[in-house]
Amino acid sequence: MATLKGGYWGKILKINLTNKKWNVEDLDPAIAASYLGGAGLGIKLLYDALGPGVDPLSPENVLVITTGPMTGTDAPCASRMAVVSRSPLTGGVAMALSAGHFPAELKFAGYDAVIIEGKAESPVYLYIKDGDVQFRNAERLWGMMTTDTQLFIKEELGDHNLRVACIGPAGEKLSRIACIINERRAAGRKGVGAVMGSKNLKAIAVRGTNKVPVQDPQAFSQILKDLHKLMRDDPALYPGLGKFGTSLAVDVTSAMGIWSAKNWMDTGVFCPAEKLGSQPLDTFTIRRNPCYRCPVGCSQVRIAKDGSYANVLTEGPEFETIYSLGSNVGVDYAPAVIAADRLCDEYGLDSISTGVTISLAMELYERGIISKEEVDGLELRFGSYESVLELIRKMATREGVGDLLADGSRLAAQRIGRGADRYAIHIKGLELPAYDIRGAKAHGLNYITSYTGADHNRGYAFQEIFGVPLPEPVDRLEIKGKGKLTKWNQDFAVSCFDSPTFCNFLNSALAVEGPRIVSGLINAASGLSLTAEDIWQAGERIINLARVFNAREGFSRADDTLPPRLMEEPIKTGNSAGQRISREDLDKMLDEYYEARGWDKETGLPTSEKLVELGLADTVAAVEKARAAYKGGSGTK
Amino acid sequence: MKIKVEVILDLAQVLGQREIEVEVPEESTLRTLVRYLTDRYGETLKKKLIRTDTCEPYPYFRFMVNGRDIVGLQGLDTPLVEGDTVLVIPPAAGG
Repeated sequence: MATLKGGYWGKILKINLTNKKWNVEDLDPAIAASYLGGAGLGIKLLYDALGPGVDPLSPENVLVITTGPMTGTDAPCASRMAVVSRSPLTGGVAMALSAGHFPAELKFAGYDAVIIEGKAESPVYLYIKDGDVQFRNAERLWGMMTTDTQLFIKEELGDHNLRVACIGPAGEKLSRIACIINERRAAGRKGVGAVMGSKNLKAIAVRGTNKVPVQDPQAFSQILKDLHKLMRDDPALYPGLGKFGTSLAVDVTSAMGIWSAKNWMDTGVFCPAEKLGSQPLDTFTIRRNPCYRCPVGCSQVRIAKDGSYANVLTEGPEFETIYSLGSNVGVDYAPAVIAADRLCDEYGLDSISTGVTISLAMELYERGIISKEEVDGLELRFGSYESVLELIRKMATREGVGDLLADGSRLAAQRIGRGADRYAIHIKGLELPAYDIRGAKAHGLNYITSYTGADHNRGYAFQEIFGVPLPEPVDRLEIKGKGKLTKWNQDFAVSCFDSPTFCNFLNSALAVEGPRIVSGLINAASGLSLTAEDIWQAGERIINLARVFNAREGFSRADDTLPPRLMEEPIKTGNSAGQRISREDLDKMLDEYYEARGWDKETGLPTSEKLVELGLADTVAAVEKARAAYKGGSGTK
Repeated sequence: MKIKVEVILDLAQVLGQREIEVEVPEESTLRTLVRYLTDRYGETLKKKLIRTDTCEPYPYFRFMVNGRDIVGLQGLDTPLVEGDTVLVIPPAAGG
């Protein structure tokens, strides 16, 4: 195997918080070639580091942060990092991506990955400055909001150019829906903030001064020209996303009748696009804030102008938050959504899971399943944005009813009992994103089968949501063909975006040329000799390894399912009226998906033949053990 | 016969509103409706919607009839009937 001549540093930083020691290990070039970087490398390092059954909030869990071969290079839209761990929310793989500037800075410091083990005796933050690592006292930072934490650390270290990733009070309180914030970006989902909190790790500050080497700059630059042309030719990337950001999806999904509302009871019925769509939100935008080397700049900085939330600023709210803390909680008042988004960022809560957990509480309250006394006297009806904001604070601090809700909808429903689980909108414990998948079947099948739970970006069906006719046009309401399409979308996402690490918003631009561009860029940077087919196969390998990790934890076909509402209750009105995913439709799609993947249909576990084909022979025993133990029930913890 | 046409984003700006009702002849297809719209709204809509080389809509424009993508129907030759709703979505991204 060739050595790594660029793109990668070939270095993994291992930090043990228990004994405050660190060392640097080599990244095996064969691992780089097989798992690329980012999500793929993170999942591989996680799999190798953990045996089954590790408590996600114990010192035995690890927090892995990876960059990719494109991070910090001249490639556009590549300042991304993957945060990987065992999720305290789902019990399976946690993989959350963040962007902004921190990922590039970490790469400049000279590392492809950081593995954090153990638990500090008292709160600390890490200061990584090129080849040096310091463990610093964070007791004064404990309890601090995320913006203040970042500023405090920059001031304490006397360097305003460094970048900080940190948790807020929610992560400290081990909320299983806590995120990690860098700048105003989030590694948002699956509770990675709680893992950081469980280690008494408040923040990671990083300063890097090294230029990422590229072994063949001329070839690299030539392929970048191809990439930039594909981006320019995309009809929606610059004109749409670059101007309005992700709020465009409000207009599209509301017109299609798949913008979820009021805990998924009133999709199409409550549809305030005229107040929360791209045009009205644009009136709050004061500037854009692109990630490092991103020429698109989708991220919108917005400020509320008047009313109770006047002068509150946020970066966003992104489409998902406009749903979770807007339509999904019955709120159509944009300044309140802006304020709720900011509050989640400051406390370090995942805004999707937070909103969907609040919407569960609202439905339970309106149905009389929980009383006013149980929710601390709050008027918890849909549309009450004051209650939403108060609940965010309570959840982050575990005050009163906030303690009941702080760990997401599944645990909240279990704690409440009284049939509440029927109304909890999650898959494998992860709350559902904005798209009502009853009217977008492949998008739904991705939620159902994603290795992280209901996670839209792990196999985004841009064919169904935006009508992109690549690799071929599809009918969003058709069941047949969606198993194969979902496999394609998931392999495409993890191989061309989550691992190299490119932004998923290039998916339409790269739908044809992606693997060729990605393999060409990695080869030009590193000296590896990957083909486009190798890239596809790496995607498949990564998905299979994640499936094996989850199988070890007891996951199987039984966990690839939907909340009852989505199978039983059709969308009431609009352009998706009458749509649902019946049990029979779900089974048909799953059978086709498993067949496309080479997994056995009974258990939903990879076959030994498929694992050997992908170079994962060393995982066969773990899967066969899981297959032997399979009894058809849910293994989700 | 009357057909409801729904549009969003910049198409709504061209048409001046998000929903319009149009009268097209019996046995019209979606293609007839598109021609009717480009005739009625002129060059601004035509330039946005129609490729000059093929005289067909750009592939990234999406048409649905009663919520169904026309790829699952008969494409632009999908027959329309009284009371149908046609949704046209311009290129978009995000999410």
